[in-house]
Amino acid sequence: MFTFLLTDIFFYIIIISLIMYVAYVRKTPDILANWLYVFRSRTGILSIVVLSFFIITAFLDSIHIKNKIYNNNTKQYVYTSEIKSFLDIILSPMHENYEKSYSAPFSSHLYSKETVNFNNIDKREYPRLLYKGNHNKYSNNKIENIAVISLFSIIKSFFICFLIYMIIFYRTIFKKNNNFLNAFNNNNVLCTSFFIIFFIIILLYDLSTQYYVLGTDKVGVDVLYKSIKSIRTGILIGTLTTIVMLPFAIFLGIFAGYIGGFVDDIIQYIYTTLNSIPSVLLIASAILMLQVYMANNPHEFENIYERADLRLFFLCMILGLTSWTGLCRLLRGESMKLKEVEYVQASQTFGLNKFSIIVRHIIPNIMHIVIITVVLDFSALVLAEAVLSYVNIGVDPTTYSWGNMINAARLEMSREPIVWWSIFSAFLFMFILVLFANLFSDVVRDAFDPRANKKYE
Amino acid sequence: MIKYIFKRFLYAIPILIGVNLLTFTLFFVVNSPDEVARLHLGNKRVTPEQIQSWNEERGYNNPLFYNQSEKGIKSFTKTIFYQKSFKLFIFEFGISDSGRDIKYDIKQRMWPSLAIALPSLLVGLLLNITFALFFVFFRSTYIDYVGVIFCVGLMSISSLFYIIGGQYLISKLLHLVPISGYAHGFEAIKFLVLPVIISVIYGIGSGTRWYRSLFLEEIEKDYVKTARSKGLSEFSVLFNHVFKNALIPILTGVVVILPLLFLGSLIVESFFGIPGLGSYTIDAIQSQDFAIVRAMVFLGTILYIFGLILTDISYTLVDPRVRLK
Amino acid sequence: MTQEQIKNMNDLLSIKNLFLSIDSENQEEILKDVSFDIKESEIVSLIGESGSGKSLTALSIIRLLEKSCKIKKGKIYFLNKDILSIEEKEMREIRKNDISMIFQEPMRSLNPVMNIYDQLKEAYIDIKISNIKQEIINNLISVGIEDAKRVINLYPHQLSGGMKQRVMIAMAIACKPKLLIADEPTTSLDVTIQKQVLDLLLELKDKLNMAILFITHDLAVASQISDRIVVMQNGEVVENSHAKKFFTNPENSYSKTLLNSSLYLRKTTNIENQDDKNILCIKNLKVYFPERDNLFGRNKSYVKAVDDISILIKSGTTHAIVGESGSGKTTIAKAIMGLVSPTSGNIEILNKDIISMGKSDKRDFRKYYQMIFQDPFSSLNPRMRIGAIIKEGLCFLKPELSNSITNEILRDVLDKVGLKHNSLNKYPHQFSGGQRQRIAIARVLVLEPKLLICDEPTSSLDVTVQKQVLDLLIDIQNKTKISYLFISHDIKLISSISETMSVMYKGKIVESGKTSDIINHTQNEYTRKLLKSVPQIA
Repeated sequence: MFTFLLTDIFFYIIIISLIMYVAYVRKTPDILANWLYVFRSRTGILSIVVLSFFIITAFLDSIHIKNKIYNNNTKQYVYTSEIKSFLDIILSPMHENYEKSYSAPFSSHLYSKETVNFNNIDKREYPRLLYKGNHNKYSNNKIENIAVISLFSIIKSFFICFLIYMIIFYRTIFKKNNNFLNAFNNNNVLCTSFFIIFFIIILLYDLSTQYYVLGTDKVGVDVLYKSIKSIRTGILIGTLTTIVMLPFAIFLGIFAGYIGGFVDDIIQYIYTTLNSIPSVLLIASAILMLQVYMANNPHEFENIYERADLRLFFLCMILGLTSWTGLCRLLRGESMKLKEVEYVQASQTFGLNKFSIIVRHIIPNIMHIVIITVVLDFSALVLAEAVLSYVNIGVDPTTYSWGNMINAARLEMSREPIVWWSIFSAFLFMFILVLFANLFSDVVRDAFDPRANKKYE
Repeated sequence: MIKYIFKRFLYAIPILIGVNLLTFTLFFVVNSPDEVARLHLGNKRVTPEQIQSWNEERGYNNPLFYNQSEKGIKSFTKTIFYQKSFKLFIFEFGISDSGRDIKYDIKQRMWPSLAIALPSLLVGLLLNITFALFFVFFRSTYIDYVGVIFCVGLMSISSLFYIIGGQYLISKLLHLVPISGYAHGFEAIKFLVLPVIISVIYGIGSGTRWYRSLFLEEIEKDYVKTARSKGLSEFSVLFNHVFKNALIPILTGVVVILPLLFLGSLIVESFFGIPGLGSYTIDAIQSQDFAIVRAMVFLGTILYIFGLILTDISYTLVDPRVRLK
Repeated sequence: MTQEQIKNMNDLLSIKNLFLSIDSENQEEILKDVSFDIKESEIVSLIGESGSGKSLTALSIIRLLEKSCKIKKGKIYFLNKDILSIEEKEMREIRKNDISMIFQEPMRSLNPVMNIYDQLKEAYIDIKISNIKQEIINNLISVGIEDAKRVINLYPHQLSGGMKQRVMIAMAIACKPKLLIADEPTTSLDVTIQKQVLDLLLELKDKLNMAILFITHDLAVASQISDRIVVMQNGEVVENSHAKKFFTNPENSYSKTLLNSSLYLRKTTNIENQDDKNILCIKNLKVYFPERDNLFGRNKSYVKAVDDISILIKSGTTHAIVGESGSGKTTIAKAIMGLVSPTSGNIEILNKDIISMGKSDKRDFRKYYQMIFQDPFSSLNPRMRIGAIIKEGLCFLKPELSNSITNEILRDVLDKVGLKHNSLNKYPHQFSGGQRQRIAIARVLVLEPKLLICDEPTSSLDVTVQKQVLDLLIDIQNKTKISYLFISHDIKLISSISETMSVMYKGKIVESGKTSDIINHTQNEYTRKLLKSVPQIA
């Protein structure tokens, strides 16, 4: 049975609004032209492909189901309290079994010696892993085995890419005077990035049926699985936060800028006040108080999943409430400028009321600022999550997140020899997401900022 | 000028009142003092007497706004609002929940914070501007292109990575400087080198890119063309004209954070065990010592507003177009 | 010495077959085979409309093109040296000593954070003079800045536009150049100032014996100072002849069009249009803007943008308001349209007071008076289709109309202003400036107003387009008996289209009456000065 967590619903809303935005853009040539610029740029298309795979992963991780089990005592089917996502089902080879403790990437043994009773003699040795790392499918040599798996994944991913390519570009391929290679050349960045990503996904998937590609953590959970599960948290923090703040920022900003006077004074006062408090301290205070509230009212948050989810949601709310001020100030300034622009004055001479002018003239002409800000804030928020979780004021400790992984890895770093893979994979995943988000935001800014645009006209 | 500064200080008062009310609501209205006490004493099986005495020790046993049991002015002063929030205005931070004098702690701890934050800022500024000018000088060549990509890469790495990686590499593998700790006087330098280097490296990506875009914005303006038509060399165009104009946003951006340097950096200080205000705040957050967090919020706000006023003043010093009224 | 070089001996500068293109997807050629020469101490005017490539030609000479512009072919000889092939260092020496340039926008061409002295000093970088300060002061005095001693310590924002351009000129002539390139140096200045700057340039030319390449779109200005005229169109030189010959007998057909557009020959006094109905009657209008209020909210001082003016417009006529920038003429338009609220006075349209009118009455009444704005690039919302833009007024002021009638009206009005029917689904950026102004006219025409306020509707357009838009407006007036309140800084233009006019100066009307009376025998000192400053094609 499907269950919906609060953040799931918001994530669906984000996806739906994204789709609606795409539909809107298709009808609006001038905004479409800006997006086409993004698509034509190599960095743009590359980062779009990478980011969309992250979003798809997060989306699959946001469709949750409860299992039905047969209860022998009551003779009835009941739902377990455990919630699984689609992603869990897809990744089930990664997390159906747990090892005992740390093991290094691709290792066949645990990382630390244990006392093993062997023929009644106690021996200190590295115990073999229970589930993976020892069943080499294609060859007994580990490196050969990995090489064969990689080869297979290349073939598989080539096949998949070819199929996708046929589906997307069948029109160009079967057009007259347009041979296949030509069509490929026009989209080679797209195709190459698709190919590389599919290759990596298939390779990781195949490898992780036989190995722990990124090792295991203290309680023997596959680190790769943890890192992938953390994608949803990262994406949610990056998007939900800005979505939460958008209505505030847009409406207050426009009201302050366009209507001015007393309204402007009040709105300015509100955001100057909020802005004066150093943001880390404001977030810390708010989350500390949330912790106290949740600790004192445990009955309201019984289910462990819902509790963790609610905390994630509140974190987004709090981050959003503390970060809307910047956008609000930008929009206020822009609305004040637009108020003096002649097409707005022309509408005033037609007797349009303030509301119509805001809807018809102001909002369409400030949206580029909103888009640039949303994209620009994304990466900063993903990075902020890690820092906040490190200080214990981030997401719930039970939630999978890169910040929690890093936080847990503090002690691992002081072990001898150190356990490096947990922290490494958290940083790696975070780096990839943030890097492509940054590259994407660069291209988006070039495309939408009227000042930057002039260079390319 | 003096009249203007006086006016700016007047404008700061309503903001401080707003911040004060906000923190008061957050810390005392959302959760009552009893609930906070229960949390500190361990959630289960806490007797009302224990809560009472916990609150009494720390002065949380008064009513929020109005004390009916007292008379006259005391019915307002013997309240949590007056004792805990209003007194912040006269820099009476009171004692922390663990019984320490917050004002004394702050006085002690702001100097180590400054010892890290100030060199980081200055070295970072110097490096970022140098790199930015370098990229601008070679604009639209491969040097610029690769440099910008490199900056984006640096920006995309979490600050925690720089700290953990730096500590591991420099202290643990190479044993160049101690991994953490602090000493007073000149001894402190060996503890400060690594945190400063890491803060600077962390800032290079975004800083260089930001300054580069400021320079590029200026370089497109008409007066640069005038300067070139006078036959000035590219170097003196960059330094005498572009740099001077771009310095205005750079300088004012720096001035606004100057007072905030006292607060230090939360993460860096706590990783390196520097006894500054940053680690003080982190410790307070982790041990849920709300009295300290409250004091830091108020202090931070005051410093920020002070920074804003300094910014306005610095504008008049560097930009001849700005006259304060 | 080759034949060609010998031939060039007399020429200071000679451009040979210059081709230039901009780095973009389609590698568009901006300059096509541009060739012309400048002799020593000769003033050559480079004339053309926007986008004709005249500024790019100038920047090619001094080699300050943007990086995206690439010179594909051609040579530029300066003193028989091919300056396109020399090193940047050598070019810098030429800029220092031989070629100077002044730009269109004095506001933006001076470094805002450097004082005048420091900026001027840079122009003397290689010149060895013992007392450089005195030299700079002398230089400033020579360009007509009397109190040079005070001015050198000021910053650009403390100077007026005309003063800034004088400083720019001082900077340019500091090295006593052989060639001065002036890129529309007077376009952003008021006519009276323009006259002074032109006189100064002529004087300096004789004194320093330098050649001037004068770039302008204004034929009248060119006729005042030039020895030779080079006309450019779409990146090509279409005519290159002596000034006298050009203005009496131009060869090229485009030159003829340009010349015709600059001579406002037609004079329309449609006596039969006039009846005695008052369309607009302004009495003692005052619009004061408070200066920034102080801490306690008391306003002590005001900017008197419009100070006690009265205007009367009869039905079917055109009344013109002329004045320089800052004289308050646009504020009057805004006050009528309700975009600023008047401090005191009456505005009556069709004998109804619109200031005291109730909100809903005013909404119904608004269709009778409308306004066209100066800049067609900012008066159309870039995010709306043309159809929606034109319909906007109709939808709000005549909501009773059905969809099919509205569409009929739209098609009708497009015909009237000379636009194609398929324009309705396009966006503003797909149109040129002139077409946009037609769209702006269409937008108000659909409401069938009785009074149309035109706030410099042609001043941001090219001359040929200006002419077309004016003709359109006159044509509409002849057909519909609409009245215009025409606001302009161009007294020459006004004299050709208006029946009555007012001259404004610093918020007050200094003279008002029949246009022909004022133009021919004005009583007022200021008007006389204005008329004198207007460049006439000699």
